[in-house]
Amino acid sequence: MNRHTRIELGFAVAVILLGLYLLIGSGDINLGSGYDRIGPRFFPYLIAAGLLITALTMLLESWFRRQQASDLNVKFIPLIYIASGLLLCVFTLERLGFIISVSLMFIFIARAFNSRRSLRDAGVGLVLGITIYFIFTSGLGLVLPTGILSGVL
Amino acid sequence: MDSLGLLIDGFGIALQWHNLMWAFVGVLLGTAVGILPGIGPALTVALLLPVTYTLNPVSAFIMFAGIYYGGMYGGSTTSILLNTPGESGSIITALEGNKMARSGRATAALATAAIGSFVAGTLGTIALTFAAPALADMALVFGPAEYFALIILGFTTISSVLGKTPSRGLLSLFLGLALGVVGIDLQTGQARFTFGLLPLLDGIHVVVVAVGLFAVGETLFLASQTKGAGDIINVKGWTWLSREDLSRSWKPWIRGSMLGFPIGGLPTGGAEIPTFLSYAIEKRLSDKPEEFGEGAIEGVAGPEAANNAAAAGVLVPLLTLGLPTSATAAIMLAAFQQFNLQPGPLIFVNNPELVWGLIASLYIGNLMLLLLNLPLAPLWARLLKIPAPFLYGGILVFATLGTYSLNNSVFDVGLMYLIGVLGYCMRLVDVPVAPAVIGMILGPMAEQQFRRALAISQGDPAIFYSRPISATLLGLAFIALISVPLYRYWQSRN
Repeated sequence: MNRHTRIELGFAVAVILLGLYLLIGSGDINLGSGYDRIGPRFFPYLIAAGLLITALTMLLESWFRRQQASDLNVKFIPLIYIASGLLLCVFTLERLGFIISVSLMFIFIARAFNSRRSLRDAGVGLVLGITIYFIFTSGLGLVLPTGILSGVL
Repeated sequence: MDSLGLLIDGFGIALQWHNLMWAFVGVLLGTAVGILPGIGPALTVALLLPVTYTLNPVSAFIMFAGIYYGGMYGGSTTSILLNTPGESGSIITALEGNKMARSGRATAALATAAIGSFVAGTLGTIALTFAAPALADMALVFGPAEYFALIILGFTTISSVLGKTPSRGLLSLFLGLALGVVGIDLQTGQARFTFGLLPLLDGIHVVVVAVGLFAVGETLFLASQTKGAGDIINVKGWTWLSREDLSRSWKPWIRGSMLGFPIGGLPTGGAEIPTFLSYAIEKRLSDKPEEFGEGAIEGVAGPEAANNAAAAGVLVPLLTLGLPTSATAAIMLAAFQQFNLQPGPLIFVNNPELVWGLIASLYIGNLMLLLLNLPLAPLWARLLKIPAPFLYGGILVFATLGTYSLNNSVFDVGLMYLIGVLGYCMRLVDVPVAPAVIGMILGPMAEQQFRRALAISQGDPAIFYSRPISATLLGLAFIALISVPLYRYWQSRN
């Protein structure tokens, strides 16, 4: 069994677990009062059943085709760079502000795509961040977090 | 007043200078994002939704229409020069057009694609002008049971056509439906699957899901691929067609348009089917079928026209029934909801200036796109040279900007990234993401119509199968659901 099949089986199992969770969780939804005949539980039950059926079908399909499945080559290091960039951005967006936060993320994403010149990337990210900030706040009236630059901007 | 008179009023709105400017911004943006790999019209419209809160809805939709049509033009440029079809509708263009480009006929391929898109876009828009009001009149008799049946038909056909196997398309659909359940139930006011988190009470916005799946999922997928990008073919000089190329192209354009519009306009979706059909027909009708697969101009002209006419066709169920059959149409539906507009038969009565301004702007946008793309194709192709680190870094910066601006909430940004990880996993295992986006937006509508129908019938489910239209639609949905697996089973036995 190659990696592709293992990932497919893992995905299907994860969706089955999600379906089970929905199935159990739907029972906990408050019914509320009113004249509604169907109530808020019916559709979640239906969706849970749909998830379980389709994920089981996918599980069986992957299992019976495991011999013919082509293998999958995945590079993990770029994924780690991107994940770090995203985490950094989410946790610093309000503290450091939009401009600095997205510039930092930009460096990590660029690195994931094989860029080795992080100083240049930082410059490009900063220019992009500043440009977007001014176009969208002054020009289009959006509010973006200023963070530690709040005195300057 | 008849369609023609209303259309003339529409031109009066679309030709106002500020609306012309928004149409121009739209077609520029659309062409650019169509060319850039990794972004498409669905993602672009999603990212612009928060920015257009303050805009007049007519202007916003004129811009969105420009992005929608422009994305088609730009997508064909990338398919021809880079052989990476951005969406399923341009697979054929990539197949045949890239072969042409490789044998030194890039300008002819780009020209037949651009002019073919113009011809098909215009013919499709003309058909839309007359078909949409007629269908809207018919849809006036639709009650909740019919709408529910229609959505179910859309669900089953869209999901079983997309994806490697029907189960994967349907799985994606149910994931979208599950995301759509989160939040306060509209009928009873009860919270569902909000995990006690306040930001989830309002539900998950479709922009969060679309941007996560398309921008973050795609970026993760491309970064983790081991194979590098393909080589880009350089183009120089004016894009134009020789007399011979023109005489070989014009019939495929018209045939492609005639295939694309009706199939694209069905409430079942599927813009790629007419492109495959058109390719097969052109191959059969050609004097030189041996050229097909080696770069035959008919094989670019026909499918490109079919793809564009189908794009116009998709607007028919979107405008007249409120039924989106593609990811971009689903986001446009979210845009309508943002402005408190409900597409459907009544929008033609209540907001004629919006609908007809929008339709008129499609004619104008098409003309702008022809003028922008024909002489400037080599210039646009330079966008393909943006280095990947900058391109994907930039995409994620814009994704963060658009998502944050929805509610000024970091929670949304984090959730969007998380959904991006889900999108990446779906890409890895060949589960298409478009059904999830469509399911997310249509799911709550399906539930509402279902409950409304049963409230009318006082709980009697016969309302769904005793009314002829709803029974027919549900029957078709059932056939669609079982026919694809049966067909594949039958194929594997032979």
